[in-house]
Amino acid sequence: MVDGGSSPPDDAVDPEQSREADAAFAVAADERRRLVIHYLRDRKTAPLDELATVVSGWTQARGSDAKMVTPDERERVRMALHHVHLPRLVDAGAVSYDRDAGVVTLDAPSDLLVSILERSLADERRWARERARADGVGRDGRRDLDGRRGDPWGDDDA
Amino acid sequence: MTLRAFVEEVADGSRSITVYAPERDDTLARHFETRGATVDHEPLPDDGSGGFVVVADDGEFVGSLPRRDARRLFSPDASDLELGSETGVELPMNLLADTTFVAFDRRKLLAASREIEDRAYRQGRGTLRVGFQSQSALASQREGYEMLTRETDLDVHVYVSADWDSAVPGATVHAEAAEEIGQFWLVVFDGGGDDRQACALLAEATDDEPGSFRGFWTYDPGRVAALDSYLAETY
Repeated sequence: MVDGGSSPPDDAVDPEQSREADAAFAVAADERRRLVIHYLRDRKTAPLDELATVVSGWTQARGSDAKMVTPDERERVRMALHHVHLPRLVDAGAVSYDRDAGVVTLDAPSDLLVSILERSLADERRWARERARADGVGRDGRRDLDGRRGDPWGDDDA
Repeated sequence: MTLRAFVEEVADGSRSITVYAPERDDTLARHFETRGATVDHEPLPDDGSGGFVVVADDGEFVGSLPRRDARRLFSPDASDLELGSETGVELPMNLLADTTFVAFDRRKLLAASREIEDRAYRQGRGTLRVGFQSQSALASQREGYEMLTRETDLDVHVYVSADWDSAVPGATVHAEAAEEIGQFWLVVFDGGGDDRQACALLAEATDDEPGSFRGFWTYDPGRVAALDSYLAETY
């Protein structure tokens, strides 16, 4: 394409594109919003209650000092999704949220947002593997989950 | 009413377990299922975390924990066994309270018993009823119960078979000929006036697998009160 300009189109700063990039990064900046999109990309639609269960449980599992999630903690996540994160995702066009039915559906997350999220999943898998190697046996129980010690749920450690 | 009837009543419960993980975890599912719980798998994108396990009661969220820690639901680790290390409902095992368990071993029953005794000790008043399955089990716990009666205002009742040598200073000993006394491992604390502290454990050795038990533990004040009055009225 010849447009008479001095720089090739690739290097041009397209205001539309940079707004889209800002929006995608702003959405992806929050872990809870990332987890909502990860989960919905897998199954398209989910009730708010299920998202609260998934986001609260998954967040704990991703932490290094993991604890149990109580019903109170799950409720706090549910309220944060309802009041803060789902409206942000709706604004970004990533999901639609039927407040009356309490159902969230994947809408049209931008290609950029999708690639940011896929990249972050790949990075996290790699970091988890590196951590496991560094620890020798992995984080607590990881060795057991890998099944290298026979029956990990048995009572052989009693 | 019999102690066994209490166990059967709880056996009708409907606690369910959902494992959210990238892949089906058959080993984990088998361990839940052999203990009488139903297990579902829900796929989760792989982020290296391994996913998590959710416990629900009749569809109502009870709690969740990372899958890599899920064995603590059945096999408390060392920190869980320390007295007062985690308070009551924080013990992962407690997500499965009010379900019947099978194949629990002595170590797990001991962990659950310790937690009940610890609650009673901290409350310092109320009624604690304990029953032992063998004379040696009583012998190993005698000092602990002596201490409980010495240092608190707890009303401690000990249930043993009639033919045991079974004095526990400070406690009321019920030496009973009834068959179920001596068959059940039981610890019942009425909460000492605070329903939130009420808890109980009831378990019976299974015939088919030596060293394993069938029973339940509970934080349901109504269920605890029913057990407490059954024991008070019957023995």
